[in-house]
Amino acid sequence: MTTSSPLPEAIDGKKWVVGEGTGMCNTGDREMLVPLGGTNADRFVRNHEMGHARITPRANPGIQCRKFGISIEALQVCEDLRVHHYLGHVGVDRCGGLTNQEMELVLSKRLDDDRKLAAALVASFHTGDWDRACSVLVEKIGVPRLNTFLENIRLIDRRLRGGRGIFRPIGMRNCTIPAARLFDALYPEQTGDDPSTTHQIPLKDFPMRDKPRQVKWGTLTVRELAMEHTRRSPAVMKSRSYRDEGAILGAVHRLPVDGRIFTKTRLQRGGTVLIDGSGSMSLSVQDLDRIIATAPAATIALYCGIGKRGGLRVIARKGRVVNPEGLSLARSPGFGNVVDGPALQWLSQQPAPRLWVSDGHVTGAGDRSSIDLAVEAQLICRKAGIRRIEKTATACDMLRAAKGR
Amino acid sequence: MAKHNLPVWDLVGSVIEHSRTTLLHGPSGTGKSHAAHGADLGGRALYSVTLTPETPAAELRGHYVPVGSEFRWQDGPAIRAWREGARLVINEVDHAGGDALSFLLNCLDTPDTACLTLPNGEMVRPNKEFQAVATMNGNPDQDLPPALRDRFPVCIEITEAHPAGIASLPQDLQAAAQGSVVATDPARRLTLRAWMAFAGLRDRIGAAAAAQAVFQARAQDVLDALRIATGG
Repeated sequence: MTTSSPLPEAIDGKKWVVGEGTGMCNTGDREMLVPLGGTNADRFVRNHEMGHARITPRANPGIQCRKFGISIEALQVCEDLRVHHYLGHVGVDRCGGLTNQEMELVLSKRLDDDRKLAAALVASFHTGDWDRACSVLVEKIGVPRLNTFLENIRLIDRRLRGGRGIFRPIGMRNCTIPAARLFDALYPEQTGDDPSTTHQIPLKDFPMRDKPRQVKWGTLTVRELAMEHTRRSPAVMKSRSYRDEGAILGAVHRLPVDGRIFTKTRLQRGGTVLIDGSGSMSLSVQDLDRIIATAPAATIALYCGIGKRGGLRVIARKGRVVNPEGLSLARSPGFGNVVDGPALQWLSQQPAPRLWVSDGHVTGAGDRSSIDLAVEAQLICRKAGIRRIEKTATACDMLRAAKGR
Repeated sequence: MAKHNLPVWDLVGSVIEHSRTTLLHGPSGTGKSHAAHGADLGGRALYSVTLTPETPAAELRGHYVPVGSEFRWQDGPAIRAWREGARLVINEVDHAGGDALSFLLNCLDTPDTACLTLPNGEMVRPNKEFQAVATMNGNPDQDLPPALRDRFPVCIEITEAHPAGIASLPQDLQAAAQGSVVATDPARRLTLRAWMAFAGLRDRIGAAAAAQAVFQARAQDVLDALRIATGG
């Protein structure tokens, strides 16, 4: 009994394997590796791992990540944050585990990667390391960029605190997982997308209550309008290409130019456009006509809802589009969003490229907004490569550009 | 060694009363001696000895004592237990020196062969109700001479703290004591006695001072662990 050592046995009365390490707690196998020194930093790390032993469920984190569609890094840092809340709750010192020099070293390696930097900040929130991290970052990245980080991390923290049972194992499901999803939505893993063209849902605009209400998506009904409501698309949906081999001799005049005298007709790449038909979009019939005219080969659908139900109506497919009577029928399900999530799920199963014309104000049943629903919509978009466009004019420009390619 | 299916203390409770010789081994401060003394005696008397390397066989067997102007023979606890059919508790049996060890080999032998001629010429045999319960901290297969080990066909490893000892602690210390008494690493082990001392002192001088007095270098870790485990 001459050296410091944690006492995880106090948590559950069972045998634990405790060794020396930098800090690790495997609640499943009851194994803990921690620094055994007598400094405050060592003590903090021991108590941090003790906190995990107390409130982190004995579940495989990899399985949890697959089950809830989150990254392991997001899960880890958000669970660390929950542990720090718990340590504060029980009155254990949270001085942090790093010195100023160590913090500078850790952060310097992450300056080019927003996600890693945010992860380090989330994991140090509500500890003495937080102040050290902020003072390093003020010099390294400047106040404006730091403020953006702070705003996002406070958002994650508020979502975490809002769940029920934050100090119990169930808190992982109610608090950590939603916070981790928010983290993944704010700081996505590298997907190869150009960040400047990825249009995210404005998550910060969503009201965050101390106790976030549980809002679910409304029930979606998908319907393709009957043929009597449709007409031929006014634009050409086929294009010709010229080749130096083939069966149809369609461009003899090119013989002296490039020899590509054979033609091949192909359907244009249509893609899919999903239009948010809620009142906040203030869509006019002319707006819809403009989209239809710009993308004649695309599948175009409009959705809206009211109460607990919503409808998605396909208004153009394979060169046929609805007439004005059909268009008014498509807008009949309501004036709210209600079913953004299910509608995006539908869109994710349609041919690419996929555009979502929406102001990003997603809502669920009762047309109530929730940051959890917004995060879910954001994650669906990212997974399916859906691009959100705020205005119809912008959508038309993008469709035109895509057609040009 | 195979794992017991019954909870270990249930096994001890049901075995001791009916077994002629029983060996309990495990970490110190788990309640082995407490169980050896307290398990159902079945109307028997109880004798208890603690062995050291210097304990002579005469202390167990008996010896002459001066009474007035003559020497009179006086049985030791082992022979008294033989005669009366009592329970003999032998603590720290692995500490037995050569002298005591030879005596124990005879004392703990099977009823058919166990007999001893005392220095006063009397031949004694064990009463059929005689039983012996020995305790030790180490591993009997390694720490006991094979012949002595063979005298204890019933050998139970104590892997948990005694439930009665745990129950006597305040509620907030019970889980901590339960786990730490049998901690895998001996350096991290905290005995039931330490927890009882802490519980007693805590009420009088406060948790911080009591922890410092009992747990020394680990005082802060123990206090933090109790806060974290009990939710503050």
